[in-house]
Amino acid sequence: MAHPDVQDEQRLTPKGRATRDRIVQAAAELIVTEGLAASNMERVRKAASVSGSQLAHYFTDKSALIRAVVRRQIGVVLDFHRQPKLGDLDSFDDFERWIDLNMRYLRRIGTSGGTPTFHALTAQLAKSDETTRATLAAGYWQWIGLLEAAIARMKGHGVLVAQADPRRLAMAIVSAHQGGGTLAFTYRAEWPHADATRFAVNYLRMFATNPAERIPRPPRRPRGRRATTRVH
Amino acid sequence: MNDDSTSRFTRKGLATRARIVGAAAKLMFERGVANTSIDEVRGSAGVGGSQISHYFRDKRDLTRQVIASRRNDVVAFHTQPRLGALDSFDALQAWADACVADVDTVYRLGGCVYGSLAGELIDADDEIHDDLADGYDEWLDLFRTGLTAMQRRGDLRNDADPRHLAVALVIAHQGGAMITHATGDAEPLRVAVNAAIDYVRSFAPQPGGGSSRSGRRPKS
Repeated sequence: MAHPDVQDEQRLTPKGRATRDRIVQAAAELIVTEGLAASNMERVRKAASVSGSQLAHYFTDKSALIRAVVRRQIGVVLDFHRQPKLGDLDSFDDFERWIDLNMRYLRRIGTSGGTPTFHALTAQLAKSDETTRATLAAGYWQWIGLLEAAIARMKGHGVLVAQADPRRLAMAIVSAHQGGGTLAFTYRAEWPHADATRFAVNYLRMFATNPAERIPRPPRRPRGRRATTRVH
Repeated sequence: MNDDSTSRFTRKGLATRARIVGAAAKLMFERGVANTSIDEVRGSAGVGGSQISHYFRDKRDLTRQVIASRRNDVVAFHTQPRLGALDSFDALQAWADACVADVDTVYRLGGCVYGSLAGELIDADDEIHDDLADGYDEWLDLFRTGLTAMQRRGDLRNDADPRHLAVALVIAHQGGAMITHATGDAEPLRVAVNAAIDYVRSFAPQPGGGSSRSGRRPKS
């Protein structure tokens, strides 16, 4: 059954949806750039260039708006995994491309912050209130569920051995991704995410039926970056 | 902790200062940096407002001291005797088990004491970013030193990259902690740290001898 917030969203006209999207986008950016405390409704209203009554029409309160931000971002994550370039995400080639596309996405948004990625939203919002935390949790379960289904297909096709546990593998991959994102944005460098996604796919490879696929691929180091030793 | 900022205080002053940092660290862990005010820290530490301003210029200064204190917590956790020098499979497994043992008392309450700070301060200034990255450097080095020793001893193959494996261990922990906190479910952290340990184990020399890289050609 759809959440009441989602039902609201589905009732909108295309124009209404565009306005609502603009508000959600503005709120998402404010949350990650200035923190939750600063992103009050007035700031959101100005950033989205809407009137107070328009804002109130789409979102009864700040909490409903924050839930919409989180749901929008998990939508971005799920869409990323469903893009045609990733095929059905059920082969090692697809997962190698998953690494490449993750790195390309990171290069596009940059590591200097300001983008409401899912880990950035979680870091800002997980300690705010229970409803928001539950929305973040629902997002993570959807993401894990998507990967679990993909990995179960790989197992069904005989690409992975019988001992492979699709749910555990999916959790390990999403965890690596989120940890990699956290370190990449702390270091403002790409290498943590390169190591993270490589670890995720090499871990999946440990369960390959074909011994050649089981061989770990070496991590690629983005050029010009020093790894864990920096100049002080 | 930096000597310049502490040398001007007496022993008693340092104790008061540590109590304030401890109170701030606890509040920031439970409710986040943004949701913690200086007033709340003052109330929780049981000190007067003038004392706080005597020891800390502002909330940013206090936050930096909390980062330093949490960094020390991470180092203390990883250098505890039962984890050896993180230089054997048993020691690494003991680390994963020790993390999992803290799920209810730490991770489900506020995530990782260090990582949740780093994540929340994603848009902080350069100095705070450097503080946080320095802490991660130290954490990564603890693992890398142990893994390098294992490789030297022959516990890990030559194609193992201690740097990469150290990053895998820390990021698995950080992501697992984040998802366990958000979901309230112990499983993501448990699965993530154990996956990282199994990944390290996969670089152990093959029982049959020889590296998997020079192994047989696959059929398909």
